Amino acid sequence: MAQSAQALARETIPPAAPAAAGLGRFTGLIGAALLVLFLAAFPLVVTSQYYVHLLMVIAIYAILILGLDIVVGYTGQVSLGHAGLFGVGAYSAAVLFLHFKLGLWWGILAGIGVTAGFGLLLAIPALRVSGPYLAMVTLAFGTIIQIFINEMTPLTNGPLGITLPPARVIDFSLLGMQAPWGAAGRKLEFYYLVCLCLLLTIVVVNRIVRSPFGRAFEALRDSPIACDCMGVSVYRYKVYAFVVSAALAGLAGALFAWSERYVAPNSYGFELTVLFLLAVTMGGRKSRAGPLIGAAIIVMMPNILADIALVRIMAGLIAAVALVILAVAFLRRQENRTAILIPALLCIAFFPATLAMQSVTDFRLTVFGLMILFVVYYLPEGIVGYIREKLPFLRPAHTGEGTALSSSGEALIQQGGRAGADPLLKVEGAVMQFGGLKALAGVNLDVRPGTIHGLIGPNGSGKSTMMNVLTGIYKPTDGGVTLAAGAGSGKRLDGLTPSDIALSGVARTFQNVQLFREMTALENVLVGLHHAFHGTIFDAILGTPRRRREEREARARAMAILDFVGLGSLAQVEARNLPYGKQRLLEIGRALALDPVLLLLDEPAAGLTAPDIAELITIIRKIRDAGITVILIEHHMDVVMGLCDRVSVLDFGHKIAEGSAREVQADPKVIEAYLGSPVADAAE
Amino acid sequence: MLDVTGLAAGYGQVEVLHGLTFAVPKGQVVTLIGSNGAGKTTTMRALSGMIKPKAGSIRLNGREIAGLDSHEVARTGLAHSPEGRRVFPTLTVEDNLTLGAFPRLTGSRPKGDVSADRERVYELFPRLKERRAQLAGTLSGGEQQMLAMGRALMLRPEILLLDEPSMGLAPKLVEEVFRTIRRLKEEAVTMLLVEQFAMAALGVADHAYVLENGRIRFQGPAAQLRNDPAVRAAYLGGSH
Repeated sequence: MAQSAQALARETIPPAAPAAAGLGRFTGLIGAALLVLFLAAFPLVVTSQYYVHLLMVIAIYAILILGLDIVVGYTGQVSLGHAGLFGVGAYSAAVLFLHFKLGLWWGILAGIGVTAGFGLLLAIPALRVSGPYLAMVTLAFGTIIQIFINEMTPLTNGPLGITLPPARVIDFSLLGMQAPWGAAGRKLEFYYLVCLCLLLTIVVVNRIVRSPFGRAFEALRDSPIACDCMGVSVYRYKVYAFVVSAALAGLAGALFAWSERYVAPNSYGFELTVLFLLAVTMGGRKSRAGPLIGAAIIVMMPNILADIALVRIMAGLIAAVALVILAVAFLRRQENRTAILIPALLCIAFFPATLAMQSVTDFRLTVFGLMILFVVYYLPEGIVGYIREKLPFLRPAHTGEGTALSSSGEALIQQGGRAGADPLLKVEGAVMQFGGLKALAGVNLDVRPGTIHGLIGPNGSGKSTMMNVLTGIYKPTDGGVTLAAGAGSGKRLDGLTPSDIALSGVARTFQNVQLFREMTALENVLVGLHHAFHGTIFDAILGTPRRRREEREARARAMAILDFVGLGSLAQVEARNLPYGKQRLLEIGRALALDPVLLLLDEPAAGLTAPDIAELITIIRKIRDAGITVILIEHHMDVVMGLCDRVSVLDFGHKIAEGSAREVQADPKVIEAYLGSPVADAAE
Repeated sequence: MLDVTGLAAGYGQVEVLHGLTFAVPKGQVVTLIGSNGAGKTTTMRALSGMIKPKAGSIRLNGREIAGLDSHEVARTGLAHSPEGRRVFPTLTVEDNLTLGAFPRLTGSRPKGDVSADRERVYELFPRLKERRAQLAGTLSGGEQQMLAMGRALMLRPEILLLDEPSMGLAPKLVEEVFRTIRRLKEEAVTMLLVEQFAMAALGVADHAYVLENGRIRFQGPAAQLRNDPAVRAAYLGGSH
């Protein structure tokens, strides 16, 4: 019966990838093919130099915005300095030409290198602390860099700017020949170079976000604390993300310098940063199409806004669409008709307003401001996010390689050979003081290898504090924590960072579930398997055989782990859509991916109903049988009694009892402080 | 008191509840039981306006409240003590309680004497009185649960929704929570209860509904379901 209840719980899970997802798998491919076709054919169809140049600017902005999306969309940080980085890239290329007469290719290399260096310098101090510091530091950087360029006349030619000659993509004169495509074709060389750079950027960003690096970026946004406890250093991966993003901004900057053939300090101001951020949010974060759409909008918009006739046509079209939507909503008596009334009326009112205006150039910033407000209010996920929500079949399948995965390989690595009398974990006199409160007042704890050690006590007795001390989230005020590492030697854990402790073999789950919510169950486990990847970011970008082999092995292993915790059929479901009980099991699976010697479970049964608890008990037993030592914090006494080889009881930061489950249960001090008198209804 | 008909609700595109019909009569305690993921918490959220129902009606004393925002629902006298407690951690215990009465002071319901109500909550939970000046975030889990229940009572609710009141509490405190629920029942407070300890919930409730996969599978007097072998095996487990 327990199994049938479990099966029922499974049925309530939404069909994550409906049958139509078959199309979703090809969305990216089709999109890429259309993009290549469009970029290749555009200058052949539209011969106007003006529009070719406009498209080139869109492509250059898109390169930068794709990079910005890594920081904003994936890691969830806000950078207000990308215009500054763009400027650094542009000036690197221009200064190189001004002083050394080095051309386009050197400019591109210098743009990428110098800007990545600046990005590193910015990120290292700014990302050490969490919160709005990155935004503040990058804002300051953007302002300073503009002043700096203005003042450093010997280097940058000051406010006059630098003028560049037409870009020479391929120097045929070196080969002593004429360009095979003639003078007319030569004008398009640079255009095609920019297109190539854009396509390469898309490929690179795609590969990075699907690699362990990309998963780390997403994980640290969804739950930094869990990310650290999976051995993935939040700080280090934030810096990685920012540097990659800066390098792309530098590439875009260098291309921009050579496409405009003129650089001046005031082109890279704060307004441009706001435009870049607007493009990411408006287009849709965490996608490749979003930045392209966003870039097109922010480049086209000023052009449209410069011409009152165009604005009137656009406003008229928008008003007409709004009118139709409103009419349909009211005729069909849709439930949201009052909700869409205001934006629709505003859209309609915009049209007569444009008729009354003589010129719109003065209102450019106002219009941009209104657009930001509109997007934040009505399209919080951007255009791409909105389309994905309305047309689910266009949603890309979550994992490229994950469709036909079956489990192979062992779910658990046997942690044998440690069974013995010597404790695996030794806590000596742990003190944790918060202001005047001693959450732990000198606790000793010996955990023997291969056992399940229970930790119980009233709410607020220091159990969770102990958990956080063991995993490095808190640094103990006093006392030591030692993990036995091989024969006779021990490793001090206190003072290490959470990610170092995790990599030493201590994994944990959290009292209030800390999953990476926007990632699938499989991806959650893959973050836990991060330690199994040895490839560098260049392996990820180049898609080397080593990278592909590691990914394949890790996915097979992750599937085995999911099967082990009974979630094999839910691998492609986003963690936030799993029912609560399954989320708890997924957390255990993710922790097991670390190949821990010691697993800390913080109230794994909280909020679970009886059949789920039975399943949980079976899984914890199997984990112990694989030689993994378990520390279990739990309030369900039947779980504690059924599983634990030894139980320690905490109260007010002191250990008040220790012994076998039976001994502890009969201890009068424990009954007084924790268990209470047996009551008919709770114990049945 | 509370009449729910054909309630359908969910998150985004995903429908979790597929047409629930149930009622909570005045002065009674009704419990929803079912496995994790059956839709118990979703039902609570739909009732209190935290998510908007897709279909169906929710009537409180004959007044339709489906589709109202949470703060409007609270003003009609439906108090929700949410899963995971959610007290205001940076406010004192006393301020938390006073805020519980806020919807009633701004709505059309009788305003009454807030400080007298606060005294009543302190009488019900003497621990809270001891800690009245303390910040709620520094309370232990059990005390926070008492505060969440006390805050809900400050609304002088027509009906009180308790979502997992014993979650994460030490066994001793679990007893205390159930003692309080029983006491409120004696005072004729109407309650809808969702509990992981289904057996204990059935012990205190008058009537119970068993949820399965977003639908009601069984219903009946709590005492009867408590002894039903099929229900016991599927939802109640060996103990608890």
